[in-house]
Amino acid sequence: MFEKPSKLRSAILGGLMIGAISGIPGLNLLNCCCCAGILLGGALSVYLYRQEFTDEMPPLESSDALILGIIAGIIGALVTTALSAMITLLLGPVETEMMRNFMEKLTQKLEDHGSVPPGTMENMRDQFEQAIKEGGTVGGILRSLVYALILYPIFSMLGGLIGFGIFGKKKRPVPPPQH
Amino acid sequence: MKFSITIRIYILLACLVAFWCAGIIAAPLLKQAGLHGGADMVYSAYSRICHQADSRSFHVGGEKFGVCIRCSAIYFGFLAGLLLLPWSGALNQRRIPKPMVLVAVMIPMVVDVLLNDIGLHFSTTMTRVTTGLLFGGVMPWCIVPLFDEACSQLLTKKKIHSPDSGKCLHV
Repeated sequence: MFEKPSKLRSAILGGLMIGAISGIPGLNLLNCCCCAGILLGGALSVYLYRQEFTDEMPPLESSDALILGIIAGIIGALVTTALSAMITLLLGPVETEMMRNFMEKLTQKLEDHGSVPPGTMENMRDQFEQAIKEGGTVGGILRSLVYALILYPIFSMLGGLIGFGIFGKKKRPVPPPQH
Repeated sequence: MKFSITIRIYILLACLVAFWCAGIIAAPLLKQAGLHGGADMVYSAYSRICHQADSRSFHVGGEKFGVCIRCSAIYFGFLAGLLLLPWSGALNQRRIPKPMVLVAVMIPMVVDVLLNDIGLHFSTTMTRVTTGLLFGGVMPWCIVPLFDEACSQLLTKKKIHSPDSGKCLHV
């Protein structure tokens, strides 16, 4: 009997997706819809893992999806925190101002369009200022990491289970009838 | 009295979800009580998963909930669905709805968000609550049997862990 494939590759890819969505300013707005980015990352890791299965291997189980989701969430939390800290630390005052202007223009456009509620720009400005202030301190980065390490694995695990529910088990090919 | 693994997993999950929902209401209540430090901590935790816009949130005593209306509807819908789950018999039989059911309950919410984004329709509190409750309320039927099955598989594998070989046997 063949062994199941390693979960690491799929979990890393799912975690990187979570990290990219949650760590890049602007893209992280996707998480405002019930952690959609994190759920997607968990589901993606299950989808990728399922692709690695061959007919000889034991079938994909829900426990695999649960573990994959948790690992992807932990990797995602680490990547998000590292990416956010890097962006904050690497951006100088000029780049920070440019990023702030870009975010404000984007949010204003969305607000005018009715996609985000009025007052979101003020909220985002406060959050951005807070992130810049906290992002530069070890305490701020650690606090952010603790929150992420609690929340991301939970939502990613849910995403993994939803992914398992949607993609399900790989259908085995029906052998042709023998005469 | 000894509970089965399924019941224990269900109780644990129900407690965690109830705690999560209690946190959503605790944020404004703490602020109202003057415990600003605690309230800020709770708001900060929920800020990672929701925009928390004041105009799109329910309020208690003038203070907004920890998450927006749509998120509140999803989480409280999930809690309600979770509490109703044992009565439907889905818990013991581990019946998992078809993937189409999962996709079907997502569609109204996704359509509400997308049509609002492209300006064809404006989401209201009613549409946010209805679509959120539908999605959140059905989710336990899909997630809990899978979560129970996954935890049971992990516990069973742990039980038959061979001490000689040091390898887990797949069942």
